[in-house]
Amino acid sequence: MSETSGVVDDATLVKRFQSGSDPMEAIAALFDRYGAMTYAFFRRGIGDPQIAEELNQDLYVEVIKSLPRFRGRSSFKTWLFRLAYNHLSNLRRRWRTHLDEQPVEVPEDMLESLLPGDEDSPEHRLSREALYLQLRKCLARLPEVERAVILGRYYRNVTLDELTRQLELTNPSGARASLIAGQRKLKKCMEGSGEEPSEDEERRSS
Amino acid sequence: MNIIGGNDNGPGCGFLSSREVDALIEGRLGARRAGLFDAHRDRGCGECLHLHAAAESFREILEHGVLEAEQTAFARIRRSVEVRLGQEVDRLQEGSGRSLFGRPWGVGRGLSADELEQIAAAGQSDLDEPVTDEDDPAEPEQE
Repeated sequence: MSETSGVVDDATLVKRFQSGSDPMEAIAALFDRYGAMTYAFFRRGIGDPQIAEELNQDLYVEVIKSLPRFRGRSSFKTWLFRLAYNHLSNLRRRWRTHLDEQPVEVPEDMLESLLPGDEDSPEHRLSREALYLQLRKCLARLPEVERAVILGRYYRNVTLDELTRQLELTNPSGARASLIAGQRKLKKCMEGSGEEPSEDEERRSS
Repeated sequence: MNIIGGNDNGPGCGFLSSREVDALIEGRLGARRAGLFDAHRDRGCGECLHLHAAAESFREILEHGVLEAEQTAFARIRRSVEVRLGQEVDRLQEGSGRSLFGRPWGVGRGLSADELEQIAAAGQSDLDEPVTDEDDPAEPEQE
């Protein structure tokens, strides 16, 4: 049975929405169950609470529109993640932060800011190709705002003021704060060969 | 077509099938495919690096819940989103000439072409249900 201890499972809520018996109650229950999680997903993935709020709201509007076509071939939460991921991908496309859009060549000043001063360090001994692959893995783990600022600053020579404006950052420190935070995380990740804890894990352990 | 270098298999570059992407998200991708996917990402596939990072983050939230600061921030905005969702449900119920929920709601008005298309698609019977993986959410928008 889909309802035990008064808790209605996702599939039942989806059916209730689709049948039209009480779509608002069904969508409210799903939002109650997953709203904070998807908000956290966007907040961690983007690194800006305001944009995360907007995307989270857009996500559930999209859920209302798309749920009638959902046939339950995956679980609701997996489907929800894929929808949320699409929203994140759209943002990435608008901000030009997709890794596959970046040049292969890593800018020298970026490497200098990431590599330790000690020239005998393991990082210095890596080939350029290995460094590049490691950097891509580390960049993928950054929140979108930090990746956008780092890519804009190093790959496209955009000023921090301009990046603050382009990304409509509400943080008083603007893009500078994101640059510093992003560099710190990248450096730590590079030292760990791309396998440093994700920001989620780092946040939880602090 | 996915955004960059992707395909109809869903998120990622197509290395993982749509079903495997679901398995990845749910943490039940088989060991052999998981190993191959690791090696694939190690070769630098941007699509899959993004997908993997997002799936990890989502699973982390599902398994460990949200942080207090996230919960507090969400609680602050929650009501306004609920109001917006209520408006959206009302709008679709009242504005759709074809039933979204299996019953007539009146004459359509004031919806965008995209919304009308969504509603038309939603009104399809199971008989003309496409054989493709329709549970896949729409791919990211193209610019």
